[in-house]
Amino acid sequence: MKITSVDQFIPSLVRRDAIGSHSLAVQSLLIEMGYRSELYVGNSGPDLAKMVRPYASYKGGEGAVALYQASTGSPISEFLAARPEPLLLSYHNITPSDMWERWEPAVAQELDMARQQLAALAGRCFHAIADSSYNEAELLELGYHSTSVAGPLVDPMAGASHADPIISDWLASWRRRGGSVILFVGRIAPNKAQHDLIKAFALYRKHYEPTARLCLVGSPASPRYFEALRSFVQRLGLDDVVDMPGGVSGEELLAYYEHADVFVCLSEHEGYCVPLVEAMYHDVPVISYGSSAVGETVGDGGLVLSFKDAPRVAAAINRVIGDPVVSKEMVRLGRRRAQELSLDANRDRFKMQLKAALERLEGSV
Amino acid sequence: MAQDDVGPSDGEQAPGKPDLGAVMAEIDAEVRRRRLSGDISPRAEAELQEEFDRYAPMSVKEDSLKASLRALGAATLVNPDVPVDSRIPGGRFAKRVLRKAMGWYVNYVTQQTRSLGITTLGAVHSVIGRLNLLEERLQAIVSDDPVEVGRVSVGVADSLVGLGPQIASELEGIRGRVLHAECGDGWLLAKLAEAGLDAYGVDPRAEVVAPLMDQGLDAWDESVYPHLRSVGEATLSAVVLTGLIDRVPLERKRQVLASAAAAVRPGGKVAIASVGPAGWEVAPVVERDLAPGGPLHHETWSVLMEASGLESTKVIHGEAGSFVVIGVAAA
Repeated sequence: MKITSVDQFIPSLVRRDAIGSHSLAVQSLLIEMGYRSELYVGNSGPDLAKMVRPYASYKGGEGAVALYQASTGSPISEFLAARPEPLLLSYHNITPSDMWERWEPAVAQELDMARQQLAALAGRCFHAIADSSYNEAELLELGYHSTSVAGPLVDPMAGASHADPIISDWLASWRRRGGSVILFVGRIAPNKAQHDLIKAFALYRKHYEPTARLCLVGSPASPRYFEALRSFVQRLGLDDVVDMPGGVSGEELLAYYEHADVFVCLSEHEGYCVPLVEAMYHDVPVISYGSSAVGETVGDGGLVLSFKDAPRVAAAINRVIGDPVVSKEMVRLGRRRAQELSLDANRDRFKMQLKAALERLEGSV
Repeated sequence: MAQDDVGPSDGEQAPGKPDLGAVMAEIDAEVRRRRLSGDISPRAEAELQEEFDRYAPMSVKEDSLKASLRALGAATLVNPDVPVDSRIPGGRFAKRVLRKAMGWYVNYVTQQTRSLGITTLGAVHSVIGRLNLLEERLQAIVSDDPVEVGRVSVGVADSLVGLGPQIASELEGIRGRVLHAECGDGWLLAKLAEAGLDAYGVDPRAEVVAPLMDQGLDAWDESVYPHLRSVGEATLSAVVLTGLIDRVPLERKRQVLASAAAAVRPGGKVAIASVGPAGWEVAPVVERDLAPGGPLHHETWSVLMEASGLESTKVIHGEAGSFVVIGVAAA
């Protein structure tokens, strides 16, 4: 079989999110490799309308390969299962439903469905490329027989060329007055466990630094969880020092990274976690809880805790913020790790896996 | 953080640079020191979690099944009296007319919806009733309740206490968290803490755990098996099992051991300290009568440990037939 086109299928394509950036970068890569490559979507942002086609309009045919960007439940999965074209999967992980059940039962149901759809595609895919070994292990457990690992094609620099001046001034003035800035970036979602970070932050302020500030940047994915966090923060009397600005622009995000003293991720479940790489790239020391793929992503670029009890996290924050030698070394190690996971490095790995898989397919059919 | 003179961005750890592994150990030591000094209350974490739980939706953990059923019951009471308030002039009048005109239809739909709700509620109650029955039956087989499994006194056999220093010595130098389950009156926990280990204990008896917290020991009032199951895989450096492990039935013994083996990281240790069958003969009669299971021989534990993926089992014998079997999680 001579492969002529590799078209991508994306349930929801948004330029600025990780999967959107990855899909667009993969399209460039495929074209560079000499294939025709279109983007077929369930839905997309208005700025991408001219670049995409509805998935149901896909014609495929001789020499065509379909590449599915799997991260959520979508009718695209069933559509592809019924198509004759060879199928390749790029897997970004599906959050276990039990983490959402208590908060958003309907989302939990969707996640269960997504996992069932993923399992159903196991026999259909000739190869799957996972973002992390953690993701790959899930695929193997679901019966995928040919898998490999390459990080997502996301550029940590792509957000903005300059930092938002208002956020920058505000955070800089806070730091000038002696207050540290603790940062986490990620959707407000139960699996991200922002409540654990608030607990640790409360203890950190009580025992180490009463002037610290916590910034939880990210759009609320679960309204209930978001409301619970807000009430919790109020209950602890921290509403003046815990910021939850929601989703922010690239410029605003850059301002947060530029002025953060430490990035703390206590997430329970991540298939890769792009913000960890962004933080390391922007020279913010990273403290993380080693769940799911977090330890794999951080590698030796930061502190990976085995436990995330509030006193331990508070002590870790204090150690990093309070000891410039440790902080400086973590920045150095983080920068090195971010280089290992840079867009170019991940692109090379992805290209190699993709090329090998497509060549095997050409040789076998 | 602004990019400044952070040194080279590649290469290995430069001379004089801090080792992050050592930094982690120092953080562990700092937490331990603060806990032991009473600076950080042992209840701090639990209290913060309780505060957060005030705002979290109901969960099965909080006996919310009844509350959920109540909410479901309340939801079946569909009100056909459609609100007619309106901010638009004349809106209220229009709505009232519509309500009156549509009354027969709304009532009909309401009746059917109520009927569906009541039938569903009945079915859910029936399922829950059966589940409760099943739970009761299972409880009799695999209970972790300390009294039900024969733990009637706080004290621990002298022979087991005598093994304390040897257990602490075997675990000496381990970095990361060490769990003692069940920790009872803290007989081993204090020794582990003295040995510089980052140890914590669990015991289902709140009245036993509370004084330990007051002493600055890190002890949680939780049942052993659920706790082990809630601990993430490969997150502990060692687990010491005592007490309960002697009294529960064989199947539960296997489950507890398997959970402990899963909880320790590669190279971590699982230790089972037992009074042994000989020691059991002289245990309080009430305890023996109530316990659904009894201690195993150390040879049996060695076999079970190997079956759980633990290697290099080592046996240390104590007085009156007691022993410790230690297995190492495969690297």
